[in-house]
Amino acid sequence: MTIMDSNRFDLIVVGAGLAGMTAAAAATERGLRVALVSSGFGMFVFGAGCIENRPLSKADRPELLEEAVGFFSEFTRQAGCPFRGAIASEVHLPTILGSFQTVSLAPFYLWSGAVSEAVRATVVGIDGLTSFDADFVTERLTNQAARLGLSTTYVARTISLPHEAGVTQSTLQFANRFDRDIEFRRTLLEALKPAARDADLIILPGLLGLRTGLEEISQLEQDLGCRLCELPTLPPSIPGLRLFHALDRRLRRIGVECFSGFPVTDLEFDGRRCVGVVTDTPARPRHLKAGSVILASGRFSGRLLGQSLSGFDGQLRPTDGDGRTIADNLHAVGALLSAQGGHGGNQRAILTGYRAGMLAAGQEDRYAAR
Amino acid sequence: MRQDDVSLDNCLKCSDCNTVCPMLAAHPGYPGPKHLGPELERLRREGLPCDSEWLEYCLGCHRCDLACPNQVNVSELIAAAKARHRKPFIRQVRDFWFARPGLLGKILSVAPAVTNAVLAAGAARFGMSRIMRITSERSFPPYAKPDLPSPQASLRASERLLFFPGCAIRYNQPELAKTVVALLQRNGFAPEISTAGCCGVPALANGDGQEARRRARSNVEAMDQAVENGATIVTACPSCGHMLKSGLAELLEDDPELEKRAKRIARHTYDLAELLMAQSDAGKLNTKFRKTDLQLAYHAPCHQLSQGIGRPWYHLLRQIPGVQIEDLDAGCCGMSGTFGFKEEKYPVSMAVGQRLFERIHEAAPKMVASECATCRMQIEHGAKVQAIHPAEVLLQAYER
Amino acid sequence: MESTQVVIIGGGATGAGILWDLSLRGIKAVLLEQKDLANGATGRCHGLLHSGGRYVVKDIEAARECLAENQFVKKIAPHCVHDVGGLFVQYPQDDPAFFRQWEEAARTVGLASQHLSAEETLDLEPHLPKNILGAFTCPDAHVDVFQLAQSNIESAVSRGGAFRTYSEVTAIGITDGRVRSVSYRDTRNGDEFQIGCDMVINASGGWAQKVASLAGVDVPVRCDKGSLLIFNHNLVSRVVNRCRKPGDADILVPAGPVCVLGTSSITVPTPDGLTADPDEIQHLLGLGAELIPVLAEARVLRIFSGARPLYVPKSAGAAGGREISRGFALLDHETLDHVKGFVSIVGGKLTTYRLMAEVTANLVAAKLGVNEPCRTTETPLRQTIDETVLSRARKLLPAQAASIAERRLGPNLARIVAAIERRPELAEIICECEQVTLAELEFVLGDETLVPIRALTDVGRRTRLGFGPCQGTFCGYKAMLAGYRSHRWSAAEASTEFEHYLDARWKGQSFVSHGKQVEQLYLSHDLFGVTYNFHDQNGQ
Repeated sequence: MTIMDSNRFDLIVVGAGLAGMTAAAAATERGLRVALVSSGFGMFVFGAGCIENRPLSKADRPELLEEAVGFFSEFTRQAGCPFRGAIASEVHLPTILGSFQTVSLAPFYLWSGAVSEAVRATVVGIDGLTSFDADFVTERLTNQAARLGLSTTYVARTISLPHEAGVTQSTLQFANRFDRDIEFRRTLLEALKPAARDADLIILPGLLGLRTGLEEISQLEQDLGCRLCELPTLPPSIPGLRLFHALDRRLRRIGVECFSGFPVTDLEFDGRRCVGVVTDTPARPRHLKAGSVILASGRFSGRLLGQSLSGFDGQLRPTDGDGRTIADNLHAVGALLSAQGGHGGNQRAILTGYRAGMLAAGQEDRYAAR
Repeated sequence: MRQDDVSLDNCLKCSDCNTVCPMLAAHPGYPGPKHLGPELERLRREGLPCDSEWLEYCLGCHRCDLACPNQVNVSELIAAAKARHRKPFIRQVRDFWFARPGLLGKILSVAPAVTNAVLAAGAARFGMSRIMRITSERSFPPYAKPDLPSPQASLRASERLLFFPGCAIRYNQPELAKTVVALLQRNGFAPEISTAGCCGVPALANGDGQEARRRARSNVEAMDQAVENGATIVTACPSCGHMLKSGLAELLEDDPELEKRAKRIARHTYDLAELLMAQSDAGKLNTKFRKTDLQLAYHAPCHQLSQGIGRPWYHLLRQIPGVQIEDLDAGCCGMSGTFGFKEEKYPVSMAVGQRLFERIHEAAPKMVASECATCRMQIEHGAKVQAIHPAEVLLQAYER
Repeated sequence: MESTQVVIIGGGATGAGILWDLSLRGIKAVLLEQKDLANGATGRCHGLLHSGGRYVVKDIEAARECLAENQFVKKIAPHCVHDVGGLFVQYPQDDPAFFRQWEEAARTVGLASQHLSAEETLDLEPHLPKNILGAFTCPDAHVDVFQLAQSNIESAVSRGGAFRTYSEVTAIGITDGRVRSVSYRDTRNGDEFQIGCDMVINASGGWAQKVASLAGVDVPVRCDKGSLLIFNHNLVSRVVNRCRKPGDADILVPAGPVCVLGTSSITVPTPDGLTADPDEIQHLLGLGAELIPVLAEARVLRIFSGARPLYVPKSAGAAGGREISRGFALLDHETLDHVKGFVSIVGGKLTTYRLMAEVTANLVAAKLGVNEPCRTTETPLRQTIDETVLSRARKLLPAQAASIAERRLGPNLARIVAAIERRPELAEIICECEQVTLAELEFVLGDETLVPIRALTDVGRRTRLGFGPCQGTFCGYKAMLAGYRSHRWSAAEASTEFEHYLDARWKGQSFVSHGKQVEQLYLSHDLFGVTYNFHDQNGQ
């Protein structure tokens, strides 16, 4: 067996959001040995990872969007959490505020909520779950659908699930029970059955487990005889976390070494090259070395690049006050690019993540050829 | 905890910590780390009387700290509050002993045969369960004479390697100390056995801050001189390692001089696998392994994860030809040292471990490797599979 | 047309205090407030119940007034007061002569004060800089301003007083040189009303000039802006004053779970739409770090500005904000301007609100020919709580939630306890930072409270919901749903309420330009702006 230095990689990706995970997956697929260094679940805990179609600037290389989204779709499919939709599509997905969010791709368990034809939807609330109200969502969605000229009808239904007296109910608790307790799954199925009668679609707050895969949810839909749409709720958003865990498992399976829990405090440079990162581990900082580094650490991580950050060049490389790249092999992706203003969104996260993964793998020439 | 600690201010209420808390997943009434940590700390600092019963349920696994994207010292806030919490008398007496495995070990290992016979006797178990609130569901680990090896030490101070055995190895599994020493010798080290006592994790876990600080102080005094002269400390128990690396200095922060020395000890402390992995990275690991056909599953203890050293055992064992190893990655085992022995906590301790037990059954390994003594106890008890320290696998793989 | 004896304009501490005082004397009165209670200067100050220590050197009269009122408020409204005590700390960079002057003046006033060595002081307040020279103690305290205003109103209502929020006065009807009526507009629905009355009291603080002009009278008031910073958690256990000539950012008040640093002092043309500018905030933060060094790294939750309404009689000239007296003035417009039945109470400070109410009510009672004396110094603002209710509450709620609920709800705790006993799910904590239960929230949203809310934004002033680090991002949504479930609002109305609520919460955070609150705000924007498409919901 070949023995590798456990601290040395071809690529280090800092941050495990959509951008960082896409970058790690893309580079691994192209043969790099990748480390993913992260802490926390980023925006996954606040949403579901939906992708909105937003205008991109020329510097974003919109011509690569299709390829990036294609890669991402395959990545999520293999992770057991497939996305549905396409860049060109535009659908309305309901939210817990009873508003519609316009998206082009979404995880399968949310995509079902897209209303394109006349469907009868039952919005299901749970007795005692104060962070979701089926009547409220139904009333709002009905108004909104009328405003948008959609012919979907919504009715509300509240179900009761057994729970310990005096214990506040939360979607996290339901999700934990869903994962651990087969009996709870049966109870939930029985409770949902009346709501599924006369409905094409059940809309419910996201609670169907943190580790549930496509088959399990499809099975549930089959047993109910109607589609299911799980809305992301106030944090923690179960559908978002489920996506995180699915992608995380996939990355580990394909050989990405995941270091989670210890923030990156510094980047290490040797001349014009970024040679590694330093993590804040107990007792001694840990030094990880790499051939290149991708920063996908979110909007507030610009400090890692120092005071002189002025922007990014055409290859996603941060530039200093004089407009020179800080390092030739250092790329930035996702929300960090938006630190200077504007909101990038998930579409940009995937596009830039994919591009940076490719750049790190030395495949930027392919772009130039186009 | 330092009075000017403002890490609770970093909390954005994202609930990442709650989603990884093993106790919250198993116990629906548990308020979770976000609430017991930063949320209530804010009210504790206001001076309000706050509910503290739930603090006893914190497993001290530090998974909340790892999940926090904003570096809130969640479990430290909980541990500090736990140390101020008052318990009913019986639990106080029981936890007094649970907090002092070193003292307990000294007494019980005087005549191990007698101790083990008594600990296994039905009447004694019944009494402990009824009076001391110690569960009769589990068997106690047998005690042994603490006759640790006394290997020839290195002559040069800067090359000294002190093995910190910890209570579980010293009093319950002294043969493991021989394994560790032999393994280190095979790799060119000349280890000695440190005389330092209990690391203090059990004291902290049982809410005995004073005892934890006493342990910390005495251990710093025991090891400081050697470390100052360049010695390295090595641990084979992840909880001891965790304590020496991050706990000592925290416990001693009221005394800047001791704190400084504790930090120096931390900088020179290595987990056994971490040390061997560093050898491996430098191409200096003895890899004269014979082919060993063994299907293993590896369970990473919480206090191994909290050290931030990656998965060294997993990578080391994979280097043995013929060994198949699967990283179970199934969360906390639920034992948490003495926690799982407590009568009132036993059911929830087993509920926490449920996911791990299921994963072990799926993986169906010949045995489970895990470096934490109480994790192994829980795995053998809950999954009915033999559990061993990975050091044993490695040592046995060496050609004789 | 509805009629009453007295109309009070302004729902701050003073107006509320006057309503209570008049109600105790059996005089019928209606209070009109343009927004919600305590929305002006009352709700935008430190919440410091002065012991007088701040004024001893410069204005001995004001100090005496404060000291007396400090004792009264502690006696009649203990549930509104955190009687934490205060320190006047001597910093090495400040004039030592002032410290000696202070000691002497304090003795003259009769302020109970004790000198502490540097060591003793640091023992009490370890966050103080290590180089301080010593301190004097004083009976400063924190007063919950929202509770104080509400308690006055609640007590008054139980004695027949009335109040209307979101009621903006549009005209004061005067016939034959005497006020006859007040017209007002309900700003929530646009409805117009008129109340007939014998007297009108202008207690509108920074708006006093504007209100007086409706009666054709000039009341010269200068608005002096003071900006304050709220820190996420309590860093001191008693009020810390810098013992020097009063200046900017020299007081830190522990205000329940948070602490408040202030203030600046800047003359502004109007009390409306005040904002704190970045330089001002940096200035305050810099001085704050001199006061308590850890403030430099502590998290700021919100920054807000209030306008001290300073009375500037023509003779006062052009002196600056802190030079003008913090004292108050009662203006009888019958003698001053020949408008009968119209009086204005201007200037003053929170600590002396009761005294201001007393002198105003004395004048009004005299004019109405009522002989009842003032009884506000001896009548508690709230009945004591039944011990059995308390012990029931402790069984139903976590210790911290029970003790907070007791303080906040007083006798109303009995209703909350009964509701939870009937429906145990009401014990759910909706706002985890401030421990607000669903039962309390439903009570505040319902009809049984004597101080009902009208907007979702009012809920925080009644309960502190949304006043913690998340600033309502999570609990505000649940509160909105509770309002919907209790049939207070339709789904569309509830959505609009929530939008206004978030906008208001976002505004106070938007002045914070550093640290974790910036991330918290972004998070809230992303969550509601992107994930839930919040601004699109009403078809905009």
